[in-house]
Amino acid sequence: MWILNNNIMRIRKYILVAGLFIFTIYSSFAQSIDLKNNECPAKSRLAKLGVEIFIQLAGSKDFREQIGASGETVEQVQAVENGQTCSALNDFISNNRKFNNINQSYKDTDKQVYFYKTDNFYYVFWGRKPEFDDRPATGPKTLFIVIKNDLSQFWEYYF
Amino acid sequence: MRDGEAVTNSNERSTNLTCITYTMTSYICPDPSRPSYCVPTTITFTDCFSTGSTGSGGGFGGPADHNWQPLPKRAIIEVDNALDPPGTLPSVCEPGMVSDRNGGCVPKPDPCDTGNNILDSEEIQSDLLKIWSGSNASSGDIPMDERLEQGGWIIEINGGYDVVFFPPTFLRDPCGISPPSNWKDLIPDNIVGYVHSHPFYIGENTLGPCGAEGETSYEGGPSDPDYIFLMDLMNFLGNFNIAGYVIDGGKIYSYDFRYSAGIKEYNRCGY
Ligand SMILES: [Zn+2]
Repeated sequence: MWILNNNIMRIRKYILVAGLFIFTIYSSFAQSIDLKNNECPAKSRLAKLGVEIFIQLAGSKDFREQIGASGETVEQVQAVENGQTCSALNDFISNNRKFNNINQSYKDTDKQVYFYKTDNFYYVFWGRKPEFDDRPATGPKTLFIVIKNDLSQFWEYYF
Repeated sequence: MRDGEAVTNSNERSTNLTCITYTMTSYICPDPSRPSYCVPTTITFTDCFSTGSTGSGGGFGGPADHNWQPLPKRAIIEVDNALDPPGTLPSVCEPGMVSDRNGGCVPKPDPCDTGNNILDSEEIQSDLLKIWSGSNASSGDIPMDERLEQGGWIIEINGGYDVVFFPPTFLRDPCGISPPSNWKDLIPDNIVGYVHSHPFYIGENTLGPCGAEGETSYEGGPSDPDYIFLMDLMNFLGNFNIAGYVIDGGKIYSYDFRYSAGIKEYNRCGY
């Protein structure tokens, strides 16, 4: 009887140790996911130029008026560098099937997602990685997502 | 305003206005933390720009910079051959056909009479024919992933124009041309523009060859990357008179530093 109880105690101890081990692994993994989610994409000279062109584009004037973005200026354009905002924008992409599919399709390619902003809007789009900033390339019209800075509304624009 | 509706200015030749109707999808998100619950609404609006198809187009900004030495013709011939498969000779073509300068014969295209000096140049039209032939998009039946963007620099030479084709180190695919890192060293001094093809026809679904960001219905005209290419080129050279040209299955588009405000659209000619 004593031997049986002792065995049960040992098994419990193993289970406890194993549980703690799994919990430790899980929490460090969860933390690494959080850290990754908070990461902001690298900045690119040509990506910034793309946002500046969108803001000056006559073809997007009506679009910008419709969404209330006529007041945004080239001088306001900057990369999003705040971890919390990047986390929210990363969530925004991963919670939308279409945007998530696009994002996944550029994994291990020469393209990446970019997060830029002006005073009242965020801009999410995909373009060539910053290492190609020394060589612009021609390419197809691309999806440009404009998001209100409270994340309450977003619009899609192709150009 | 409907597509192509003509507006007449009493002092000038008639100018065509081309109008593009955009469809904008807007999403209202009642709960920002759950973007998958956003409700789409669709708004359409129209943007019009003038076109040069009646001959009022042509010319970009100020006069071209003539402080250059003409390139030796040999250099141009070498680059002209960049699109030629090795060992091909110019074809002798039947009446009504012309050489595509890539070893084949194609139906003689309509000549350009656009009022744009560059497009109306016979040499340029011959170069456009070569670019289009190298794009492998002579018909919509050709699989899209077998087509290629092609292009080159437009130079002013001996009082006329010519295209210096991008060398093979400029990588091509159906949806883009990617230059090498030394691309700035390869720009001729006497450049007045750059041209590239979109090997597509209006309405084609380019999602296959262009990936997730292709268009479900190709609508023509320069793209954001095409504007960026032009802008970076102009910034590097400090010359804001340089124009961009796009040729596709139906139209020729020219554009300049004003981006979409500077777009002129011409019916396909010369290729
Ligand atoms: Zn293009």
